[in-house]
Amino acid sequence: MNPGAFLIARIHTGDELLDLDWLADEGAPFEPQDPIDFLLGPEIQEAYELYRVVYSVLDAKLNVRMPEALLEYNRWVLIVDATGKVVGCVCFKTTDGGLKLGILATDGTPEAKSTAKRLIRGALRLDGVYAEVSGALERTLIKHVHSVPAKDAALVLAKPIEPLPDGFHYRRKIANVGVRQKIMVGLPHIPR
Amino acid sequence: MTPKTAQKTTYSNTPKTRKVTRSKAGYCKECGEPGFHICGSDHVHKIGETRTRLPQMVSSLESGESASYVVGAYGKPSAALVSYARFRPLLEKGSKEERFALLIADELLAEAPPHLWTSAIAELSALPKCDLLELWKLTAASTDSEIKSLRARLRHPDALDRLMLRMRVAQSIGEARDAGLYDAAESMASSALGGSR
Repeated sequence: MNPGAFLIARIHTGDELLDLDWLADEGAPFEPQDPIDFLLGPEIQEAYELYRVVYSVLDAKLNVRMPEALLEYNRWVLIVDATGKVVGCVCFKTTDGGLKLGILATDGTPEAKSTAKRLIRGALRLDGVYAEVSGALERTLIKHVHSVPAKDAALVLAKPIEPLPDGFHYRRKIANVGVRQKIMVGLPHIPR
Repeated sequence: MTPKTAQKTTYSNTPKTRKVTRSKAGYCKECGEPGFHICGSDHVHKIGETRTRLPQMVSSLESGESASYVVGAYGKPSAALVSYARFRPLLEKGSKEERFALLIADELLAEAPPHLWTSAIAELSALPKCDLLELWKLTAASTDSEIKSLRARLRHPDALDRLMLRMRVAQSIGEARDAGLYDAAESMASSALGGSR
């Protein structure tokens, strides 16, 4: 995975998403784009608005205040409806362990949510794609994707964690949030 | 026969040119100082340690997490492992424009993530040398009038606007990282599909 590349893919609500190899291979529908051109275009504003609405409900304070700060993420999948409107976005970033799920937001419609879920579920079956999850997303994914043992998750994160007795879940401190229980899912590249 | 302690003393007195690395946030992982810079002598990676950690080091260079590592025996810098993607214009003897673009990006976008950095170099490399020479002066320009006069001398003034926008984006990302907002957002992503309006 090329960390220097900034890639945007546009998929449609209702797309079956049977083949998601492009997420790891960086091929079409991913298109390279200069992040500044993306920032100056209309789509990031639409995606930021989705992010702002969803995340401000989850926490009123801990939010990125400007669309430009979302450019931390260098792989964007925009979910668009039949009219071309952005109704969801799923952002990943390249890390030592591969492609890590970052943020996701939809407009709340069943079509957008279901497309986002299919995308994430499929993505997490690809070599080198992973996420740290808990709560509702964990329940959605856990039967469909590989769970990473906590000892391997610690190597991928390169951060201190407290493994729990089941060998998969762990607790770790998240800045400004506190200690949270998480599980890593997907197929990250584990440093040995 | 020189005692081992004497050897250590000798090397600890060498100039402080050492490991040059930084995290994505633009801060050195070793000492926490910002930017691409020189660390203390204890940050030279031992050869044996490098042998053991080479896969992780390469992976870290490849992902952009680190820019380079300095390696040597007894804390004495002898070799460097660098990110090929980052230093390609130097390693492949790229054009003068590419090499100059790299210097400008290194100076002005030191804290930027690799995708901002790479796109900046691609854009700057396409500019004529005269514009690159002017843009280099941006590293010293501090007032609006200096920037205005710099813009007036450029053949492609939009390049200055875009470079300044890149700097602003890099700064916003750095501030959000420092505030832990990405960690928090990534943690909250687990509840984001439950959100609706």
